[in-house]
This record gives sequence, structure tokens and C-alpha cells, in this order.
Amino acid sequence: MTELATPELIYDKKGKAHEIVDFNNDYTGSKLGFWLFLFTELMLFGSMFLVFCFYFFRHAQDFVLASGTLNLILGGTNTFILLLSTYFMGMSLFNVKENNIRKAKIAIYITIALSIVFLVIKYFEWMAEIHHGIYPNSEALNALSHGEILFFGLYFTMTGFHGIHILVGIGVMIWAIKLIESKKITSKNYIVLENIALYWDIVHLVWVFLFPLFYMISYGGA
Amino acid sequence: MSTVTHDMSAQMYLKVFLVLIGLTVLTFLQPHIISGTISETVMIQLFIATIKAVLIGSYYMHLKYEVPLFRWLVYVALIVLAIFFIITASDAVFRNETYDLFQKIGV
Repeated sequence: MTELATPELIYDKKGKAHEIVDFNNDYTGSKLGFWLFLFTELMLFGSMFLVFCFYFFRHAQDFVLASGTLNLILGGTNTFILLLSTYFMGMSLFNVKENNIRKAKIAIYITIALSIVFLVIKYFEWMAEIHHGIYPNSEALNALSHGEILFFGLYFTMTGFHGIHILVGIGVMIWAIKLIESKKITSKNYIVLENIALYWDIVHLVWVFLFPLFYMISYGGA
Repeated sequence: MSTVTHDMSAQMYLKVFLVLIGLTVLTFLQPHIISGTISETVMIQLFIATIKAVLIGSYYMHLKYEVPLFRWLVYVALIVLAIFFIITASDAVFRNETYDLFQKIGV
């Protein structure tokens, strides 16, 4: 049909014509939608940080005491691992845009590997706490002060939620590799990978605030 | 596509990464450089974290290269979150002990 060959036009305020594109190829719309999702993540973690700040203010000494028992080396290593993984996620997006598909895939594989290392370290960290009898509603935890119980409750909840996000991240990265292999993510159509990179950055952002609040406060008032 | 012309270069990714590594190292060294009270430590730590967050948002999340709409949406979201924090902060400070603010901070 000849009608289909004629591009449909829409005019902006200055009278400039724009071609209406296929809705499945709406780059800005896809990104905007994903940012709206990221705002829900901001509220999810933001409200948990809010609870943390409230109780930290009211039980400052207990929080500092409890924070001192966390393993700073393991937590610190994870900080660097996550930072490195966001760099590689960024490089995968960069390489897809540059049409270096092989390099992009390698970068995603490195990101997945780093995420798994993060989770393994987190596992050992949690196990160390659990071996000390510290886990939600345990006898050893309930014997501690009110502030310390709150600190560990928040610690398991927030790092747990963060860990779930890492797991989901690994899942969507594997999906991204499948999409690259089936040519659904290309140098011309990379919005899915861009959104995954945005997601990974917000997972990193949460950790950027989580780490000092849980691990570094023990140095205060020393 | 206009997005390709104003975008992150590989060099820029690396530069931001190195700055972030530097700031992370600073996070660790802070207690050894300045040994302060709880509130001082928390403020310095959160200040470093905020700089890191701005860098990640601007460069890794491309907000610096986006149309203003995206930046404004982020500002609005952050302002809404800040309102929650401010209202709750007044609760945390004044609950049950109206004028006990300074004693609390001095902990």
C-alpha cells in the first residue's frame, strides 16, 4: 500500500516536522519508563535508609557497637568488586554502541563473574554472623540491646534486599547475552542493555550509601 | 542519532572509574585521617558517598548527556525523598523529649 510508504508526520511548536516512529522502537520512551521503575527502587531503598537513620539517631551508641562486629575487609572487598563490575557493565554498553559485539559480551561475562564473587563473599559474611548466633530472632541477638537488635535487623534486611537485586541483575545480564546472540541487541538497538546498565548502576548506588552506614560508623567516637 | 554524538567515551568511563576508586579508598582512610565523633564521621562518610553518587548518576547513568526532562525527573524524585527525610528527622529529634536535641547530638 502506498499509504504505508509515506511517513506519518507530527509538528512541534516551531513547526518542525518529525516522523512518527514505530512504538516498539521508541528509544526515549523505553528509557523514560525504566527511569520511572528506578524511582520505585529509590523509594524502596530510600524508605529503608529512612528507618535506618531514624533508629541510628535514637540508638547511636548501640549502632556503633554493632557496626564494629561486622567484617570490614569482606565488606570493603565487595565495595571494590561492585565498583569494578559497574565499570565493565558500562564498557559492555559502550562496546555494543561501537559494534564490538565480542568485547561487549566479554564485558557482560566479567560483570556476571564479579557479581557471583560479590554474592559468595556476602554468603561468607552472613555465615560468620550466623555462626556467632546472630540472625533475626535468635537467642544471642535478642539478648543484645534494643539498638543492636535493630541494627542487625536492618543489616540482614537491607543487605538481603540488595543481594536479591544482585541475583536479578545476574538474571537480566544472562538475558542480555541471549539477546545479543539472537541479534536483538545491536549497535542500532541497544535500549535493553542500556536499561540493564542503569539498573546495575542503581544497585551500585545503594551499596555506595549502604557500606559507610553499616561498616564505617564504628570508627565514630573512638 | 543525536545520542551517539554526545556520549560517554571509553576514556571517560575509565577516568570516572579511577576517581570513584580514589573516593572509595578515601572512604577507608577517613577514620585514620580525621578521627571524629559519630556525627562527624557519618557526615564525612555520607559526603564522600554523595560525591560518588553524583558521579555515578552524571556519567555512568548518562544524566549529564540526557535531555533536561530526565534530570528534572530525578530532581523531583530526590526532593520527594528529601521531604520524607526532613519530616521524619523532626520526629526523630523531638519525639518525647522536645528540647533534648543537643544532648542527643553530643552522644
